[in-house]
Amino acid sequence: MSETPERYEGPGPNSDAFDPKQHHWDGIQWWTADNSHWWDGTRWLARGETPEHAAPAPAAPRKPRPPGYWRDFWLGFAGVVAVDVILFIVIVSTTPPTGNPNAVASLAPWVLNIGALILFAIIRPRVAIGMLAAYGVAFGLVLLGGCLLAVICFGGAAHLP
Amino acid sequence: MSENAAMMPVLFEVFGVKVYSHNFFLVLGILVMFAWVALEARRRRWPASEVVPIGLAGFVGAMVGARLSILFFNGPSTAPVVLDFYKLFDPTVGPGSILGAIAGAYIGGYIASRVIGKDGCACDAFAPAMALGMAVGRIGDFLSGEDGIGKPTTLPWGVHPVAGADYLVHPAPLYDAGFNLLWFGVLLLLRDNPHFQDGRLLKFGVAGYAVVRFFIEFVRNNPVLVLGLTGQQIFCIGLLALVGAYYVIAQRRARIATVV
Repeated sequence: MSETPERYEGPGPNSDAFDPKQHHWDGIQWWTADNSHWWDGTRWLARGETPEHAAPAPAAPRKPRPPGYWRDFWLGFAGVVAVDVILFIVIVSTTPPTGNPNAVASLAPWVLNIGALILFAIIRPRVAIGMLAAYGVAFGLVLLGGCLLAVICFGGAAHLP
Repeated sequence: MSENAAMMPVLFEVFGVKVYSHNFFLVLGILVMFAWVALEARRRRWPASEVVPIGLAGFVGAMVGARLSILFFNGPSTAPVVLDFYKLFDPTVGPGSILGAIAGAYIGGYIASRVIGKDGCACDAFAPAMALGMAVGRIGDFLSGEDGIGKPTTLPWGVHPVAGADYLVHPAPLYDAGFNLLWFGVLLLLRDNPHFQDGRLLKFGVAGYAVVRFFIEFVRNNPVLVLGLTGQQIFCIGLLALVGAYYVIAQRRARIATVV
C-alpha cells in the first residue's frame, strides 16, 4: 500500500501571507523552497502528486438539505410572484390611461423587491435564494420570448424610448 | 460582400414563427457562459450549493445592471423605461448595456458569495466564461444591425449597415466578438497561474475587456457625453481605475505582510 505524501499547509500564492522569497517560480508553477511541494492553483501538492482536478472528479456525496429548506425556498419564489403581480395590478389600475405613474408608484417596486431581497439575504437566505430563482426564471423567459419578437434596443440607431 | 450581408434580424423560421437573431445569440451566449461555469466549477470542485446561488445572483444582477446603466449611457430621456421596474420583464425591450451587466453581475455575485459564506473568491470561474458568452452574444448584435453596427468606414472589411446602403460601416460587434474569443483563450491559459487566483483572473479579464472596449467605442454610434467620450468609455476608465486601485492596495498589503 502506497504511503500518503506529507501535506504542506503553508499559505499559497493567492494569500496575502505568501512570501515569494521563501518559494520559487519555475516559469510554470510555484514550489516550496525545498522543492518538495508545488502549487496546483488551489493547494500545495507533494512532488509527483497529480492534482485532483486533472482526473475526473468522483461524484461528491450530496449533502442533505436542512429541514425547512424547500419550504423557505418556495415561500420566496411564490412570494415574489404574488407580491409583484398584485403590485403591478395596483399600479396599472391607479395610473391614468394617458399618463405615467407617479414617483411613488414607480419607486415602490424597486424598493420592495430589492429591499426584501436584501432583508431576507440577511435574516433568511433560503427565502432570498427562492426570490432570486423567481427573478432568474422570469428573466430567462423574457429573453426566450425576445427570440420570437423584434426587440427594440436602447440608443444608437434603434432609439428607445 | 453582398449589399445586405450585415443584416439578418430574422435568423430562421420554424413553422412560420420568426426567430430573431438578437435574442437568439444573447440566450445562446448566456447558456454557453453557464455551461462553461459549470465545467469550471466541477474542475475546481465547487459544490452546487455555492455555484447555483452565486450564478443566479450574478445573472439577476446582470439584468438589472444592464438596464440601470442605460440611464447613464443614454441620458435621462430613457428614465421612463429604465426606471419602470416592470419593463425589466418586457421581452420587446432589449436588456441594456453589457458593461452595466458586468458591473451588476459582479456586485450580485459578490453579495451572494458573502451571504452564503463562501471561502475565498468564486469569481475566477466566471472570467473565461464571460468572455466566451460575450463572443457569442455579439454575433446577434451584428446580425440585428444594433446601433447601426458602427461608424462609416472605407476599410475593405466594412459592411453595409442596411440593405441597399451606399456606404460601409465598421463591423464593431464583430471586433468585440473577435477580441472576446481571443481573450477567452488567454484567460484559459492563465486560469491556473498562481498570480491569477482568488479573484485576480476576473479582475484581469474585466480590465482587458475595458481597455479594448474603450477603443472599440470610437467606431460605435453611442452618444458622446463629455470630452468627446461616450458614457461607455467613461465607465471603462472608471473600471480600470478601480482595478488599478485594487492591485496597488493588494501589492502594498503583500509588502507589509512580507516585512512583518
